Parts: sequence; C-alpha cells; structure tokens
Amino acid sequence: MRRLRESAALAVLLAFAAPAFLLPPLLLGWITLRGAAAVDWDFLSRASADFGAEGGVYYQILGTGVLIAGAALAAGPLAWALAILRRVYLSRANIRRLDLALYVLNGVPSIVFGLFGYLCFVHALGLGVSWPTGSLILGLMILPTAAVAAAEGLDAVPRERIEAAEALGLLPWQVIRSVHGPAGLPALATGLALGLARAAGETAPIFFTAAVFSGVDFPRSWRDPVVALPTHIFTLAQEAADPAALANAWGAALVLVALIGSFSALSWLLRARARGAIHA
Amino acid sequence: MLQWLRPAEIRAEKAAKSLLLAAGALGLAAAAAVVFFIGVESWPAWREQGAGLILGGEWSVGEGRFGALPMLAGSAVVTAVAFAAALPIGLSAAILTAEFLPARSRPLARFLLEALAGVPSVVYGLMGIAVLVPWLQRGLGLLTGRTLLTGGLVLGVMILPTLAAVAEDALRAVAREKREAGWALGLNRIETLLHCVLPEARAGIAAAGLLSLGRALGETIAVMLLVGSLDRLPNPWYDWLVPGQTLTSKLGREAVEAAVGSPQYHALAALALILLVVVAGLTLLGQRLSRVEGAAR
Repeated sequence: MRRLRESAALAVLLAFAAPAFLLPPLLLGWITLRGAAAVDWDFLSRASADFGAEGGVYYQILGTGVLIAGAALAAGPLAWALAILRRVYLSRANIRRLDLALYVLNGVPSIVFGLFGYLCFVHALGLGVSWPTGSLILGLMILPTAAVAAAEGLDAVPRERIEAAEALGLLPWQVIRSVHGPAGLPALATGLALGLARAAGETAPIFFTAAVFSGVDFPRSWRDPVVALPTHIFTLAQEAADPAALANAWGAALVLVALIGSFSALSWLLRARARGAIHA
Repeated sequence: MLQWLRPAEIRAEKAAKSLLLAAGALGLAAAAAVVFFIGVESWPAWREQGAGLILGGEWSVGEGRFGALPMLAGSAVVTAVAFAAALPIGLSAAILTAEFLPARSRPLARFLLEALAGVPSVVYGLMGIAVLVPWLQRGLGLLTGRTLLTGGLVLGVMILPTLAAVAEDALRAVAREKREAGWALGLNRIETLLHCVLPEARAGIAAAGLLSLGRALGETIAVMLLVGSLDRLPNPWYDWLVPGQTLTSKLGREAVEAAVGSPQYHALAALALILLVVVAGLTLLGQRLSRVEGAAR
C-alpha cells in the first residue's frame, strides 16, 4: 500500500513537472521554425519598409546594439566601483545601505523604469527621447546584476593573496589594482553579459523614451532616437492583421532570441573560464 | 604610517577613494531618484483624488476622474491565474530535479529553465497573439481572444523559471542529514520529502512564490498585448474571459500619450508608485527569505 502510494505520488509529480521541461524546447523550436521562414541575408541586411511588412531589420539590429553598448558603458564602471567599494572601503552599515539600494533597483518593474526615465532623463535632464536615455535606463536596470556578480567575484579572491599584498605595505588602492582588479574582472564581465542579455529584450523601458517605430535609421547624434528589435516586434504584433507584417515579426523575434542566446552563452563561457582560473 | 610613502602614491590613494565613494553615492542616489521622481509626480493625484484613486471604478481623462480599481482588479486576476498555473508545475519541476533526478541531469534542467527565462516578454506576447488568442476566440466563441485569462496563462509560463529555480535552490539547501534521518526511519522517498525536506525548505519556497508574484505583477509588454486593454471590472467578478486592464498595461498604453504635468500623468505616476511599492516589497521580502535559508545552510 505504501509502495503503491509512493509510485502514484511520483507519477503525479512527473505529470505536473513535464510542462516545465517540454515547454522550453517546444517554444524555442516554434520560434525558430516561424522565424526561419522570414530570415535570410536580405532580412538581416536591409532596412525595413512599408511599415515593417517589407524589407528587413538591419537598423533595428544596429539600434539594439547601440542601446546595449551604451548600457554596458553606463553600468560596467559603476558596478565595478560599487563592488570594490563594498569589498575594500565600506563599513558594515554602509554595505547594508548599498545592498538595499541595489535590491530596490532590482525590484523596480520595467515599465516603472520607463516612466522614471521619461520624467528624469527625457524631461528633467533634457536628454529627450534619444538613445542615451534608453542606454541610461537599461544600464540602471542591469546595475544590480552586474554589481552583485562583480562582488561575488571579489569574494572568491583568496584571502592570502590580499594579505600578501597588504603585507608588502601596499595602500588599499594599490591592492585593488594588483589583486582585486585582475581577479574580479571576469566576474564583472559575466554579470554584465547576463544583464545585457536581459536588456536587449526589454521593450517597456524604451518604447516611449528611446525608440521609435520608423522614420530613422542610424542615430547621427546623441539627441536621436533609434529603432530597436523589441519595439519593432511589439508594433508589428499589434498590427497582427497583416500576414506579411506578422511574418516579419517572427523573423525579428528569432533574431532577437538568437542575440539574447549569444549573450547568455557568452556569460556561461566567461563563468566557466573564471572558475577555471580561480581553481588553477 | 603614511610618511613613508611618496606623495604621488598618497595622492593616488586619496583620488581613488574619493572617486569610488562618489560612485557609491551615485548608486544610492539612483535608487532614491526612482522612488523620488515617481513619488513627487504622483503627489497631486493622491491629494486631489484621495481614496478615490484606489477605490474609484472609473478612469476618465476628459472628466478628470482617475479610479484605479479596474486596473488593480485586473492585475490581481492576471497574477492569480499565472500563479495558479505556474505553482504546481514549477514546484513539481523543482522537487523532481532536486530530489529524484540524478545529479548530472541538473545542469540540463537548469539550462532548459534559463532558456525559457531568456525569451523576451515581447516574444511571449507575439506567441500568445499567434496561438492562444485565436484558439480561445474560436474555441470558446468569444468576441475577442484578448482576455484576462489569456494574459494570465502566458504570464504563468513567464514566471515558471523564477519559481522553479528558486524553489529548487531552497530544496538543495536542505542538509543531507535531514533526508538520511527519514530513510533511517524507514520512510520512502515521498514520505521523506513530505515530512523531512519540505518543512525545512518552507522559507525558500515562500521566497520563490514571492519573487514570482513580484515578476507577474510587474510584467508589462506581453500582458499589454494579450489582456485586451479595457478599463472594466469583470462582471460577475469570476468572469475572466473578458478584456481587462492591469496596472502595467494601463501605464504602457497611456504613458505614451499623456503630457508630463497633466492630471492624467499624475494619476499614471500614482499607478506606477503602487506598482513600485508592491513589487519592490515582494522582491525585497523574497530575497530576504531566500538569504535566511542560504545562511542556515
């Protein structure tokens, strides 16, 4: 009887868990299939035309690239500084304050980031609807991910190495440059890649602060908005009545998922390499 | 001690320290600024609408009435549907991976969940529009397939990775001796799970629930594409096969057209403030719970 109950419970568990493991290959396979029908060299290398029903996503790819490159530039150095500060200079109470700030940032919904960006960057700071606004918002979004990853990397630095440097009479900044820097940077890169994978797919923070649907190609100044992949898919998905536009939405979705996948793969590789380096 | 050092070294140390401290202040200021800007912008709406902002059922820009009740109800319904769909699946997946599958299959399970988490919100919206919307519309003979239920179901898939991954971490954190104690008593694996492992992992599983609730409430683009975007309370309250509106979809729809400084924008900022407080609260609480668990490891 007890054995029967165990088998029955296991069967139920398996039945309920199955969707969690079947959905990922199903959904990704489906995106690939529908997307592959639209994606070819022309699609990747031509500007979109006729409100997305014709042409490709060349400038959307470039626009997303600009946005996340800017986000990396904004978040990377700051995350690095916060991690060092936490490890070397701050008191326990201040570490708690900084962590609270990072946790709060991590808990802000993406649309609220959009609204904040509109109020703060577009209006108060006068940056306008432009790619720097989008990069700053996305950078702020991924700051906690990057900072926490970098801090974990620093925590993994062997204590003896720091003590050896301190015993040589080096000042904190010199210890940072010679020990923390080289050892912690791979962790920062891992966290940054992970954050960028998320930032690349975000629509809500940028669709009324940094991106427009059509009428622009590559930004020529820091006042210009961009076209981007997620906002492009969003607009096409809303006009779902036109089959040609919808087909192109799937194509853009496949390109975006591939882009995100490559950033995730990069973060996996970096993590694996960082681990190897610490154990070596 | 500093007198042994060359002045250049001291200058570099001081410069580096003040630069890093400035960066720290910038980090703190950024988090504070998000709360500050949304709070200040929403203040006039709280002052003018008072409790009507939360209890009012009508949102009319023309008449200057801003009641968020339909959006609050929509967010609650959509989140409840998502949670009800994701909880049994996510928990089962976590239990299966942590307790029953061989350890070497764990990276594969993690990889699958991370792949699901990597699909962006807008692509989930696209998939919902392509399949779920026409299915529901034709299958149930609805006027439109864009309903509260549609949004909730897709949202359920989206929060599945968070739920499963955090719950699995909680189960993994339970000490091996707890399981061994169960086996030593002659309990089988299901009994050990129920009586020895799950009670120990309670806080971590609660954290998984809170974090995924926070994600569901804050999710915007997929919900916006699927929920129908009508400011209506479901009537009767359990009829979820009708178009509705959530806090996030309302913000997404109207933030584009409202002018900063207008009563409409103040009211939208108030919605954003509600969202911010609830979601950040859930996230903070969830992270605290999961860390308590981690510390006890």
